[in-house]
Amino acid sequence: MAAFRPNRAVGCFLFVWGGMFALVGSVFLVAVLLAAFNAPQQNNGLVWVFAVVALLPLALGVGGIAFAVRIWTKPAEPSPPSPKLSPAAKALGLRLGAGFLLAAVTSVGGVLVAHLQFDLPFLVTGLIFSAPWWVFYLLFRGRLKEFAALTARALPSPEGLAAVTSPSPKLAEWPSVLSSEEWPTVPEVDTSPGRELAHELERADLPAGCRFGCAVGVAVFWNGIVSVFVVSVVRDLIRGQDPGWNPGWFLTPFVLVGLGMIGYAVYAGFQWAVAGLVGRVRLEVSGHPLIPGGRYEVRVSQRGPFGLGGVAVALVCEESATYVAGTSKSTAARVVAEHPAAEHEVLPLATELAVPAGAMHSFKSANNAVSWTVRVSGRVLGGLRYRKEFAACVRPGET
Amino acid sequence: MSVSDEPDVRVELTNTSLRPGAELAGAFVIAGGPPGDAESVELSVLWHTSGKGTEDLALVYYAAWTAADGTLSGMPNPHPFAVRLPRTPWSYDGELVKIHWVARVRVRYGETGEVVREAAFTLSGATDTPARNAD
Repeated sequence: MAAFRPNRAVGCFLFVWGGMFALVGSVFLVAVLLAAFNAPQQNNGLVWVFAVVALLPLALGVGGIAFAVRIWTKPAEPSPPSPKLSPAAKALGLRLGAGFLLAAVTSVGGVLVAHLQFDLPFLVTGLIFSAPWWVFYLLFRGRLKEFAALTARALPSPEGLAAVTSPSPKLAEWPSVLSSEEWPTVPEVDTSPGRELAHELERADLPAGCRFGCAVGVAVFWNGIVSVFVVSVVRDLIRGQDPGWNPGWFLTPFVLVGLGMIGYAVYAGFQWAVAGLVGRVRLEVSGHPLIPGGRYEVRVSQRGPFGLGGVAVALVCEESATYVAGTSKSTAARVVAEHPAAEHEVLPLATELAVPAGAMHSFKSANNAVSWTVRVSGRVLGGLRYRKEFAACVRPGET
Repeated sequence: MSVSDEPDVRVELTNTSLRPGAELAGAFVIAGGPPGDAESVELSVLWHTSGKGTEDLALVYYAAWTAADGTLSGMPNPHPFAVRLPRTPWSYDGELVKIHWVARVRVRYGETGEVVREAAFTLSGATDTPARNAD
């Protein structure tokens, strides 16, 4: 099989279309700004609307070019088969490309002529800018759908793509690789040897000191930037000068976010202080990984200045799902099961942890996970809440 | 191509509730054989996720017959298959995450025609399937 470079083909496609969008957007933006500066008396606010309209294709174009550069500079990796457009798809693509170019030239040229030659109002200029695009869309609407269908056909199926791009197992090695990978998708969870029991579990959550440090860093960065504007506005107001714009509407959301960050930093600092009062909490189990239906001896001990009371131990299952929202990735997490092992105890404590027979095993894939932890919670100095999560792995028993 | 020209594809499994490491056996058939303008027939056994997160998909078996490489004309029809399944992941019906196992046949024909047929099954070592976390 010949070496395919589909990423480069996609990069070229993005670069060409991104370049066209960027060109159209930048020319229109320049035309709008020139018009605004040349005829400020006509600047009735519409200029900013047109500027934003021009920024959209510009942003799309720059994004496309940036993505193309990213694709080109990405290290080589297993590539899916190159999309092979049929002759009909290629011909249709050419017609659509020509139509797009014609619309772009007509639109931008129309704007330039309308403004430079006839000095038409902004509203008319906007109509002249958008009309060719509407014509293009109305004429080629059906063809665009057809082209999308033809292009989709040129791409490999999701299964074909997975067969080629999956780093492991390789297609040619199946099923031998599968049988050698004992527990696919079950993540390894490290433990260290315990003092009294076989395994000491390691903490699953971020240490309170790290959370506090991160919260302070982010809050200082954000509020440092916002404070520059706030100080400037306050100085103007004290001097009785008009800042020239409405600072309240613009700055209020940023200030509120900054206050929220300060509040979280204070909360994280409080948690850090509580963790310092409690000291080190250790959790040991008699066996690991945990097997559904199994029962395990658990010991929790503490070394710190103040004793932890009202201690509860629970086996906790949490699902997490990563999804794309707009241009960024977000992760949702939800605790779906809690199995108490001890409640209202004092340390050190020894108890039994039972894993339900029907429990799902630990699971991790690229965007989804089912995670198990052992949670130790309690109160110090009579009322301050403390909580620590220990990472565990639930794995199916031998079958 | 109209809907009536869609090839009639069926996928059947001998057992739809399997234990980890068991063998999945089944067959698929394209009634009357693949269409004259068929481009490819793909058979895969896979698990995929659904729910709030972006879908993850992984194959444990994949075979393709294409007109381009001349293998389509030699494809057995009906086509029996047997696949040894891994021990994990188990089928799972969670709140944010769900894991499904399927045997999937995808037939591509004409310029844009495509038919996908699936036979779902569960893979679980739990006493009640699919796996869950309640007591």
